Parts: sequence; structure tokens; C-alpha cells
Amino acid sequence: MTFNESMKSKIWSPWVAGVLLGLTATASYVLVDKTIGSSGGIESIDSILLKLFHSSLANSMYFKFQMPPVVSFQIMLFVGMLLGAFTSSTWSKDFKFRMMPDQQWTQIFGPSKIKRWTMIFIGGIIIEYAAGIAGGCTSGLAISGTMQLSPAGLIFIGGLFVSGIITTKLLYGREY
Amino acid sequence: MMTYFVPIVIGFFFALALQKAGLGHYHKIVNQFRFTDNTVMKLMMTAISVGLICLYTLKDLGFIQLDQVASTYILGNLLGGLLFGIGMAVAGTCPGTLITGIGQGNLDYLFPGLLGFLTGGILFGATYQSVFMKISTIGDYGQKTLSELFHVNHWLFIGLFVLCTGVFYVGSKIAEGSKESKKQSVIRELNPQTAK
Repeated sequence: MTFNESMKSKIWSPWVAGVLLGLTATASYVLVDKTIGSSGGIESIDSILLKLFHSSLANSMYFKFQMPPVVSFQIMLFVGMLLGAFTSSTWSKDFKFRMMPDQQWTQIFGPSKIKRWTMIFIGGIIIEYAAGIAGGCTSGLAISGTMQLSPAGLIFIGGLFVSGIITTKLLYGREY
Repeated sequence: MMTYFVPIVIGFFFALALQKAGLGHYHKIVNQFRFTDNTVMKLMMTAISVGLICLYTLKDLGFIQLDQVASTYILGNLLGGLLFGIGMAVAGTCPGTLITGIGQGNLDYLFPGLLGFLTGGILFGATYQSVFMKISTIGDYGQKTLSELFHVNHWLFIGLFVLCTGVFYVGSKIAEGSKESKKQSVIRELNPQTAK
């Protein structure tokens, strides 16, 4: 398969995508001595926003010292990620402005956009808070942590699968 | 130059891998929890295996030091994971795939999604001292790796993990093959004339 053909394809084998992801994570470690992660970038944006709006929280210990309001490595990572996802999806014609997921969602939860928008909002709050407590997210802790043999990564993966399966079962009911 | 250019290139390939695996889509994430689509597990296990081999080879050759090991504090890692899974099943995304989804045009990810993540981040920061600092002292082992904790050579754990990935690869190939041949035989039974 030529380079153009593989870029045009919407879906790669997950094994191939996984190798690329593993090499990317290694490159980050070797080149800049940083692990890839995404939940920290959100905290950096929060910190900048709080300072911009002169919130009193900007002076809290966390947003002043742990996550100072600077354009961090992870914010620059987001810039690259947006470009990468945009390039990948436009090349394969997967790019489309979507108000909600293409398939499956409406079969299970109906056509209501408000329902989807509410659920991703609530889910988002839970995810980012949880990533803070755990010390990272799927990329920053599960992948980057485990690839250094940190027990934290494996504990986190175990936890997220157990509750993810139970929650999906509860949400889907008989459709599970 | 390095500080801006390198993370942009790394982020580019990171999200490209996630997008090409289809993880910018809701169903790809949630169907992992139903085990009807194992993309997430396949991707994660391969990425971790490749990362383990590359990182520890480079470390043993003396090119890098492993100084970014994620801290282990058992209660927090576990509680965080349990909470994270609930959110992931409700939203059908996680932080990395949220950004990937935004990049492929998902407006539900860009507006309510990002707003939710930002809100969660502020809540975490606001409760950092009262919640996180207490939880993170329970079962605290610091930046230790499995091989340091168990005093075993790291290649034993790496070998074990890569072996699991290999078994999973072979297992899923066999399962997918039998599903495919079952589908073929059903088609043959339904229309014996058209099927070859």
C-alpha cells in the first residue's frame, strides 16, 4: 500500500496505529524528556483562563505552583494533536462537522442533541477530575506510565475497565 | 524552537495514530466496554509493548534515564481509575481522544465536551489541598517501577507484558477468523446459488 493510499484509509489496523503511538511516546521521552499526556494540558488552559479573568483561584497553590499559567509542553502538544487529527481525517474524508456521534448513540439514547451534549459535559467533568486524582489519563498514565513499568499505570487501567464495563452495562441495559 | 516544534510534531503523530484507529468516534471507545470492538485494548497493548522495549533498550544502552516514572499511590490511582471509567463510559471519550475528536470536526467534543473537561480541571485544582493531598499519601510508593519494588530484572516484566500482547494478538486473530468463516457459512446457507 502506498503512503497516499494508507492516509486515505479511514481505519488502520489497531496494531499498526499502536506501533506508531508507541514510537511517538518513545520519541517524546528521548527528545524532550517528557511523557505524552493530555489531561495536564487541560489544567494548563484552566490556569491561563483563571489568571486572565483574575479569579481568586489563580492564586491557589495548585494553579500557582503545580500548574502555573504558562504555555506548557502539553498545550503545544494539543496544537500538534489538532493538526494531526485534522490532517488524518481530511485525508480520509472522515472530517465532518458533527453535532453528535454518527452511529450507535441515537439507536441507544434517541435523537436528542441536548441529551448527548449534557452527557459529554458531565462525563467530561468526571474524567478530568478523575485524571487529576489518579495522576494522569489514558495517555499520560495508562500508556506512558505502564511503558516505564510504573504500577500506577496498571492499577489505573484495572480501575477504569471495571467501572467502565459496569457503567456501560447500566447505561445500555438490555442493549448491552 | 525546540520547545515549540518538538511537541507539535509529537502531538501530530500522537493524534494521527488515535484518529486512524477510529478513536475520535464515540462508539469505538464505548464498544470496548462491551467487548464488541477491542480496538482500544489492541492499540494500548501494542503501544505499551513498543514503548517498553524501546525505552528499556535505550536505558540499558545508557542513552536515557527513566526519570519521569509516574508516581504510585495506590488509593488515588485506583479511585481515579474507577471514577475515570465512569466518565469515559458516559462521554465516550477521554482527554487525548477529546482533542482528536475536536480535530476531526466533532462539535459535541468542542463545546460541551471541552467545557466539561475544563470545569473538572478547575474543580480538581480548587480541591487540590483538601482532597488530592490527603489521598496521595495513602499507599504511597513514589516514583518506583515494578522491577524496583519486586527486585526483579525489568526484562522479566517486559517479556511478560509483550507475551500477553502476543497471546492477545493471536487470540483475537483466531476469534475474528472464526467469526468471519461463520458469517460466510451463513451466507452460503441462505443463498446457495449466489455464494461460491
